[in-house]
Amino acid sequence: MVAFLVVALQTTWMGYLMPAAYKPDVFLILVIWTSLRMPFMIGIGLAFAGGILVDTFSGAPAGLFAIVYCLVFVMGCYLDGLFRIDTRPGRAITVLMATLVSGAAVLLWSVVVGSGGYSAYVLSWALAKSVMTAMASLLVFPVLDRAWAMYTTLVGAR
Amino acid sequence: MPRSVKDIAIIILLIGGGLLILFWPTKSQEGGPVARAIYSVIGPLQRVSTAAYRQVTGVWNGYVNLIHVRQENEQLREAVKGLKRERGALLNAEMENRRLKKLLNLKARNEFPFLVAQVISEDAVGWYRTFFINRGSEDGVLPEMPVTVAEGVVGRVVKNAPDVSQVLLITDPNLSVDCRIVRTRNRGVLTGSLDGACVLRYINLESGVGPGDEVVTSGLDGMFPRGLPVGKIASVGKSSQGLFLEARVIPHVDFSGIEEVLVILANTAGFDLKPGLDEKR
Repeated sequence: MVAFLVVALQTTWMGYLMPAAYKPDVFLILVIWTSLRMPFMIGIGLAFAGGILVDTFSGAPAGLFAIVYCLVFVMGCYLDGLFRIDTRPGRAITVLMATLVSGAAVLLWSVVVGSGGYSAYVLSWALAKSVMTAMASLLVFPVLDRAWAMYTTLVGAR
Repeated sequence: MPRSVKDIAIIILLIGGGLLILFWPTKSQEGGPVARAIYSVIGPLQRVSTAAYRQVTGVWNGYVNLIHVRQENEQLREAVKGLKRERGALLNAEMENRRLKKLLNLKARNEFPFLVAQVISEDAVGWYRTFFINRGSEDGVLPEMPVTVAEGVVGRVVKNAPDVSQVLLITDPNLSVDCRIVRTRNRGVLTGSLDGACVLRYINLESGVGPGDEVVTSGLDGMFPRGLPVGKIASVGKSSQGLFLEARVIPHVDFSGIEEVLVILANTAGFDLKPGLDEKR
């Protein structure tokens, strides 16, 4: 349900607030959040399903974001195991890196299919978008934490 | 962190599944049952969200507009007078144009049936240049159909569901359009560029194109009708191999402000490639 709401928000209101090219990838933040808060099996399943959902609502070929979000999820788990990234700066840096990974995957695919190439502009754009997403994560993480706490209080399980 | 063999197996399975989907050869661009189900869940959410946003901005803009409304009214009255004069002249020119075309046994290229559609949402992640419209296969919209606005070409339909379709914009690197430069009549292939403009490739080195030249669709790709305005050349340079010229084209359409579009209801490869198609229509 949260995934559907995030996609609806991402495709409508988010674009009205800022240029589409620079809007933060809220779904990616959600994937990083699940990598820190959810059991592995559930989290990676959500990452895959969420990737398919994002593929459907973007110009990406089916499967690209499913793979990217799975990789990002594993990356989040791995980094948390190594460095304990569950702090505000740690999460922001992880989101920044994950957005760069996601941009690199998009760029790599466009190079593979011969529809685009990289340039200084593209690299600066990817960096700007990653910074925007990292900044947005500072707001989104507490909201998700609060929503999760309310949900677990209501349902009575964690 | 994945610790067990089972976790690693799940990772391999899911990434393998993703790769399988990514490289699966698909001929049809119509959304499958999963995509249709997803669209049917998120479509209403998007519509409600877009309607709410327009309602809020409508009220705000109405308030702001009231402040300058009197002064603007006077200016508009003057503008209407001028436009009425201009319209008369244009109607005459249009009538003359039609007569001449009839004489030359040519048909106006904008006679294709079209459908007005509303933009309901945009690309989910922003790495691509796409948006969604509120018309789908139930309204006769099919993949490959051209999408335009009054200012010029917007893009083409890439995926559709019964009541929603995805439009790929000409500024996306995944879309190519065969174009012609109006002044020199040279052809080139227009593709999107990630910086929001477009690049016109494969222009003849001797063509003499320059900044300010108008670019229109050639109709030779069988996808877009001939003569639709696309944009204006901003700069020209040699391609990396040095065999052709490449021009940076600024589209006429402001993609960020589009609310409604026209979908040209002509099927694939139906514009200029098949002789006698105009007569059949």
